[in-house]
Amino acid sequence: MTSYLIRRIGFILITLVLASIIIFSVTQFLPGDVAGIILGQFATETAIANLREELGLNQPLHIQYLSWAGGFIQGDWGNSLTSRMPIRPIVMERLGNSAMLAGMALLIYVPLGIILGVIAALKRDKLPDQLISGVSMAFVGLPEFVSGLLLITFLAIGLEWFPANSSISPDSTFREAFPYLVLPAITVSLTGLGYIARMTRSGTIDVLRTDYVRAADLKGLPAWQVLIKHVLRNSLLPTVTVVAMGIGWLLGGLIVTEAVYGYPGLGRLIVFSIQRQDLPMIQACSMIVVAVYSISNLIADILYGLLNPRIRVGE
Amino acid sequence: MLKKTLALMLVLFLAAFVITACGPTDSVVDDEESEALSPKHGGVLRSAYYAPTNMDPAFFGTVADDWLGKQWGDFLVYVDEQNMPDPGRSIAESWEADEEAKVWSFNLRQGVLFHDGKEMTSADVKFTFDRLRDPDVGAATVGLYSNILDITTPDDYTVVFELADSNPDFLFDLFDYHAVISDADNDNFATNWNGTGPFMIASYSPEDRIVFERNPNYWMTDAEGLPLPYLDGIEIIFLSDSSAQIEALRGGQIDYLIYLPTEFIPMLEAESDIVVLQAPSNTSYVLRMRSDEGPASDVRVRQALKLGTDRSAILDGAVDGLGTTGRDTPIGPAYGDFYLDVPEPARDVEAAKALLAEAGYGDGLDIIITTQESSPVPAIATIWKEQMADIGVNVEIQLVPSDLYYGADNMWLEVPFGITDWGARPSPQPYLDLAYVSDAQWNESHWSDPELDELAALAAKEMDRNERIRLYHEIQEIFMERGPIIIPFFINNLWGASADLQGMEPTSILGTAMDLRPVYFER
Repeated sequence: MTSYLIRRIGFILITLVLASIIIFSVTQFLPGDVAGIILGQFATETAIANLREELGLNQPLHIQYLSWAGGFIQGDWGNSLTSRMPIRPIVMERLGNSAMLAGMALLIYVPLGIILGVIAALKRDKLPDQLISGVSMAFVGLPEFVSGLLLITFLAIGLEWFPANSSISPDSTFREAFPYLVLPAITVSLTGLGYIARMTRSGTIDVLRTDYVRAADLKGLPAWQVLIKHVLRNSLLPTVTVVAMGIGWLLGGLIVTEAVYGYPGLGRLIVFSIQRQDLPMIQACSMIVVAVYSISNLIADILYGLLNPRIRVGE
Repeated sequence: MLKKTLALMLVLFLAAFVITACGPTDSVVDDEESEALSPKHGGVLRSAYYAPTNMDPAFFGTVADDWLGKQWGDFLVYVDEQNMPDPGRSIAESWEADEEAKVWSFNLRQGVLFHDGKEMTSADVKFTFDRLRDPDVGAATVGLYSNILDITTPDDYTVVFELADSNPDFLFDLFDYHAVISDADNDNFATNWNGTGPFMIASYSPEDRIVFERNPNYWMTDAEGLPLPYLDGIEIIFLSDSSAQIEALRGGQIDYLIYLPTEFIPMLEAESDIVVLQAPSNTSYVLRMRSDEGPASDVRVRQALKLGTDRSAILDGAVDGLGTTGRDTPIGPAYGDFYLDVPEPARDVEAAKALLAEAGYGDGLDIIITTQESSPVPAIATIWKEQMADIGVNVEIQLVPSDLYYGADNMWLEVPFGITDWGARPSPQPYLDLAYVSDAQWNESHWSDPELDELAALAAKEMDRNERIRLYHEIQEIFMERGPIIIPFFINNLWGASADLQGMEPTSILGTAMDLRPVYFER
């Protein structure tokens, strides 16, 4: 197990190095000149040339990459081109906010998705199943900017239950942020719910067909015991992977939801920095998203091993 | 074992969640210990807008940069809601120019303090404009202020500008949004915003929000001698999505929005606790035709296209009538008596067809119009296309993103037909100098008309207002007769505010120029 872990972490490091090279190269090809972006389109040539020199943009690319990557490892992520402020505290703060939103969303859609999936499997092809499958898949297809605006219109502006805008202050604790998290979390959950319910349903149906479940049934175990002891433990395996992979999506991919609610998470930061061509900020955010994806992938594999002895990695 | 641990963890987790969620939320406690100065004083104005791109005044580039600068900064000359210089709201108490409008001297207000407590003097004013015109600093204003020969400071409260050429509009140039009076001792303009403005930056969280607090030492007072501003502060959340901004206003989470997109106006006007404020502006969407090559180089074609255009229909269809129709000249009704007030040109399909036939396009004409993807430009293009079909002109709409239209290849200066948005300026002269005289930097229609060049040059130096009015009227007649542009309408400046916000005076300059110093909450 330990050697497996070391190997996996090694792979993650290689992934990160490769990703950093790709991210750095791709950002070099974005249109526009960094110095020109900082000074605006009407600045003079002299001013732009001076700034290029100051920023080291006249050095060869590989030198620029090494100094960027070296700084990144040592915790110096550079300064934002637009606000001129150090990047790391900004990114870490937004990552924290995204984690709060992700946690809230997971707490809503994972349990709900599993429950709905199990019900659908037990009532297979009957009305509850058709209702659950149909409605949850419809929500998967509904874009977040539609569901978000609908929720705002009804729950925030109509009923005034929740705030319409979720731009929480930078130093909010989870408790302070809670009312602002509800609507964005529901919006995200509407998308995530369908996948979980679907996965759980098909997993559960497969397991319900197995001989050992029939045996448990026949030996007279109460239905709920069969379900929890024998069915769920096996049927939830694929769901675990979906949930863990979802963490990466929740931490970096909530671009639309965060924009609709003005929630200061990583996704909104990425949108802002792309709009402004704030290259160091784009690079830092991308690296964080890659890291989160790699780590949640690893967690998914480890959990899978814990739950399913058959694929557990030998010593 | 595993099962039990998992179950226990789940229970603990849920319990913790429920406890934290249901506990009393520590709302921000208002420690209003200090006695309010008057019923008008107090309250924090909450707003939302796009995030700024550059906070150094010399490199302000976006509307957001401009807007924030107007809160923490002051201007040597403040231009009021009717496009007139207002010494009562300026850093300069009074000013005078010589007869030729070449030497301008300004008497500065005494006792104006920067946010850090330093007194502002003539040295700071000189420094501000020297920095803005220094080619080594490279600000966007180098061209605007290239006419300044020298700035001298006879004493601490007097500044004298010496110009190379006469410039009757010099006061307006001093209200350029970059010209925030800066501290001469500042060593980092990108991160140190030491201004003399009514509000001070308390915290700036990039890409998230900016919080201003009231400047307790601000020099301006209201009619009763009470200190301005009334507001305790301003909090601006950065939202890059206009529907999110609107929802925040409808949901009561913000009190004030600038530059409302026209499509949301009917919805907002239906809300009882929101007011929509508007003022006519000189912001327009200029449908410009290249007059040096292609079909529109023939003046008959330009006249035909103008005759075939129904301006009111475009105004109603594209922006719900929230503006005034144009007369195909860049000088709009917001300029008062400079504007030549003639009736809206009537649409005449037959006359247009006849002119086209005369120009050799009796069998029809195909043109391509390059259209930015930002609202309301595509709507304008679509309605115009339908109108042109009636006179036998087949218009193909080529949609491009705005950043490509104005991008490195300067598409907007090259395409045969395009729609360019021109922001409001406090005087008409810049439009002529920037876009319509033969050697103009942004002569997007490639127009060259010796008579216009001559009149524009005269108007630029004319100190006598009546004579200037005459010149501008003559210029507008040239535009109507043979100009290279169609201006369907001038759009209104639009603001949204919660109904309890008072003291706002809509301005025709820019949406950012609404003066927030006298704004207060009615309790």
